[in-house]
Amino acid sequence: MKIISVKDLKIYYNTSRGVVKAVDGVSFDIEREETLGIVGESGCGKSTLAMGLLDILPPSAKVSGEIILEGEDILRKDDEELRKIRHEKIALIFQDPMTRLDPLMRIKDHFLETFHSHRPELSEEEALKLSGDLLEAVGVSRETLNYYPHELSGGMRQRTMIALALIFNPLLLVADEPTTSLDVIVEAQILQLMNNIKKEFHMSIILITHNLGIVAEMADRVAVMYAGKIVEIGPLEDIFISPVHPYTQGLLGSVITLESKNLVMMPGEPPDLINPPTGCRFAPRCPYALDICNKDEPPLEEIKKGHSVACFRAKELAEEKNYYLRGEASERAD
Amino acid sequence: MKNEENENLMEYLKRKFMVNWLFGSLSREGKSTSAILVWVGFFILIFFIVIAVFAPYIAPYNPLKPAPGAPSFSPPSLKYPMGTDLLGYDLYSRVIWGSRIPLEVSALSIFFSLIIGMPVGLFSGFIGGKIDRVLVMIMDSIYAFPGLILAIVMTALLGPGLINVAVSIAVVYIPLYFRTVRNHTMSVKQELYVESGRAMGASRFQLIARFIAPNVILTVPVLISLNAADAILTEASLSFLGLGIPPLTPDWGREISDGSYYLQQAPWLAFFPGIFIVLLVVALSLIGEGLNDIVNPLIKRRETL
Amino acid sequence: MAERRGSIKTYIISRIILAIPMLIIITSFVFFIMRVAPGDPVTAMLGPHAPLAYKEKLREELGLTLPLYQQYFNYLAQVFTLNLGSSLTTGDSVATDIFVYYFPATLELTIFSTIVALAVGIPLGKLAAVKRDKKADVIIRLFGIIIYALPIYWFGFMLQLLFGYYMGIFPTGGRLSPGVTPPPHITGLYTIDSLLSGQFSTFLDALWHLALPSITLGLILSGVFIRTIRVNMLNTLQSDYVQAARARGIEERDVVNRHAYRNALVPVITIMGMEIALLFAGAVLTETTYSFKGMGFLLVWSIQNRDYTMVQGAVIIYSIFIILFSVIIDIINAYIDPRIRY
Repeated sequence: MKIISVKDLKIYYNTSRGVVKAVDGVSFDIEREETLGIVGESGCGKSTLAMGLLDILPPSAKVSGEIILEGEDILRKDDEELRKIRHEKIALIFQDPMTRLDPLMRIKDHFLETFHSHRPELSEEEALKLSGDLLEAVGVSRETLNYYPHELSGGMRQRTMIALALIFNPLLLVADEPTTSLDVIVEAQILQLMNNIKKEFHMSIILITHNLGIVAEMADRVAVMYAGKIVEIGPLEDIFISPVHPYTQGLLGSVITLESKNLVMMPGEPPDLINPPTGCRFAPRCPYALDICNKDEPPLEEIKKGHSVACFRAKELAEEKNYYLRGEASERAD
Repeated sequence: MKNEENENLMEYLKRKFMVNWLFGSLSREGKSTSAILVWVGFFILIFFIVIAVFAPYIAPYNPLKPAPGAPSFSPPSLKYPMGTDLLGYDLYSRVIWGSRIPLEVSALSIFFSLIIGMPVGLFSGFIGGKIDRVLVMIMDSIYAFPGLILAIVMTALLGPGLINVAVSIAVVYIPLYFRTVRNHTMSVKQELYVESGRAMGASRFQLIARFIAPNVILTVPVLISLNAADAILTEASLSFLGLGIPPLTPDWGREISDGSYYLQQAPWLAFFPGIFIVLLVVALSLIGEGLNDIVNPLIKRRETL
Repeated sequence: MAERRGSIKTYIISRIILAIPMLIIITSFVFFIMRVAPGDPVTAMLGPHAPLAYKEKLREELGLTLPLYQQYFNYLAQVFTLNLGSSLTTGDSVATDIFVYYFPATLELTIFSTIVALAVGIPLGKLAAVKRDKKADVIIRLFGIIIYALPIYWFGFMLQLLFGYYMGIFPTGGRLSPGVTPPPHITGLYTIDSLLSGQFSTFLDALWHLALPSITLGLILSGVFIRTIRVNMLNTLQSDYVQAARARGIEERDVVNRHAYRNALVPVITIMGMEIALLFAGAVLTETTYSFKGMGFLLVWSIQNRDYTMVQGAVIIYSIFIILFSVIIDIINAYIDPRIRY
């Protein structure tokens, strides 16, 4: 059952240097209780995408396209309806919880304020009780309610943010680099927590990160973003074991594991989003580029059920690596 | 290599800075308002400089003598556009001539403040340690003290006269330039320690001076504009209080003080000089504020380069 | 788990300790300026034709014959015991006069002026930030620039003309109307003293006389607050926690007022600390304009009458209070912002 459908989402910023095409025609769907991992380098547009889903972008941003939630396009809704959808249907947790909490307000005030904005009929005691319950559910003591944000440790803050996100049992949790600022042990705990609540609350998750390791652990499906577009999207195993798009291959090749023999690095840099190159955006760095790649943009096309790639040579590349295109498990012949 | 990079940085900055904001793209949000502010302020300033320079040709009467045949306390009229005072002096002529003092005094005092404040700031930041701490404490103390009161005390002790006034005012603003240069120097010093132990070729001092130069070039014009605005108000206040410029010299502050005795009978005497002060100070403030708006993002951008 | 809260006590103590060297520096500066300045104070006081014997006697009395370092130590001792000598004109104790009468007057004026400045500056700054780059913003910013550019005395005179002479609403000078006796001295601030003594009509009279001076100084200083609040709010409106609050579906009105606005106000206390200097400087001009007998008035009067002991005393007391206020401001700051505690 589809929870959310994003169709041709474009987010452009007006800046003094020109129009930045941060997200340039992105489409995907999310199913119930599914985790979609969105990976890419810094600046590929994934964070912008997260903010765009909730429409909390700065005024200089122009959004077009459709975001279908429960059958309705939320981009067409008025301010008040949109406000209600935020946090009730789609909740967002950020990378650095320290800067995301108001330094002058105690934790309980953050909760109370959120309750009040959506369910003003709830009394303060009830709201506080619910808040305490949620905090305990994420593994943090009820006492935390009385603290100020700077008095908590990093892990506690992120758990608090998660608890805040769960207040109205949203359909979708968007997590933008949720563990990047945490140490490895805490990171593992937070990820585990996220998996647990996903099952318990029947939530879908969009996990945005540049860390392929956590994607491998958490995601059901993966979308790879480059220069504001999705270049490949498919089930986790497919992407990790048999990546097709040259960029995805490069990304996975640059991950260092215990078995790595050579460090494969991609030459060049991501393009300028104000004047992206004509044709495929990855073409300038692509070892497989042809003439046509510099002229036309490859559309995102399914090469196999549930697995789409935006590359003119997708079929070729898949075959070359002996991927089994028609059907179930993919193998790779070395 | 470092020198080259920095050179290009400076050229780049000069180029971007000048071209962009002078003819600043009117399509940019917000940037256009800042550029307009600067232009408006700039033109008003030019206007004042012109009337100061050409005062002998603009003022109809000799400001040091009563206008011949002029009635006392005559309200503004065609003959005496700003009216006359008790002795029949033409206020208009005195106001026109009076534009010289604020321009001269503020230019002089800024000059003094700069040539003392900036080198001492550079020295203090570079040398660090106890000497730096002492200097900072001294400068902070002066900075914390009300500028006008300091200027009052100094002029009272030094006596009247243009140079004395300029020196008194200069002392008040030295800490401003000291601070700015010293802070930049200190932060650049940190960077250099982290980057390379011993710089190749050029001495550390030269390198630091090179590094802070772009930043200083950007921030000092803002400081000068706002400093000038303040200095003019201070000078006028000193004259108003009877310290500073000797009595007969046309001076806006003193005109207001003289005119205040006849506030009810001849309000124009106090009114017009004040308007001129306001105009000139607003002009300089506009320039300062506008420059500030434009320069701030440039500084921030540079810090991330 | 949670971090310990920093101790306020240690912060206070460290601030006070830091303040003492600054006090010494400022007062020393005054001392050296007065000694270094050309012109002989004795000649200035007695006139150029006074007999040498008188001059010598006065010099001795003033301690000017002692070697410099000794004068300096005596001076410092005086400063710290607040023994500031006697006025050369009235013969009264400088310290007493200033503390009992003149300083409280200035304090009263600056308090009411600050109230005006905040009441005008903060809302306007907030409005300008919320309506960034729109007409309201430009007008408010222009207003701030223009009003700050007004010479205080000139503005005072214009207000006197308009409200005092033409419209007759407010008095144009003094702290009380002629014939009204000051309230019994408790703090020296007429408004508070009269309230505490139950003299309600005196209270109103004092307030009435404070109106124009406070409006004059307060309006002009509001320019500073307009700019500060505007800049602060522009920053807070773009901050991460504001965006996060919006993501939580908090109403925009609450986002602005509760998150952006309150955080924008935090540095205001610090700004007020820097404003003290401006307030005192402005008070000098305001008091002179309105014949409001506070320290500013005293300073100018003493200079015109060559009462150097009084001038020295006044400057010393200014220094003491400025440092005192900045310490107090820092302490208040530590209370308000839970993050600043050493």
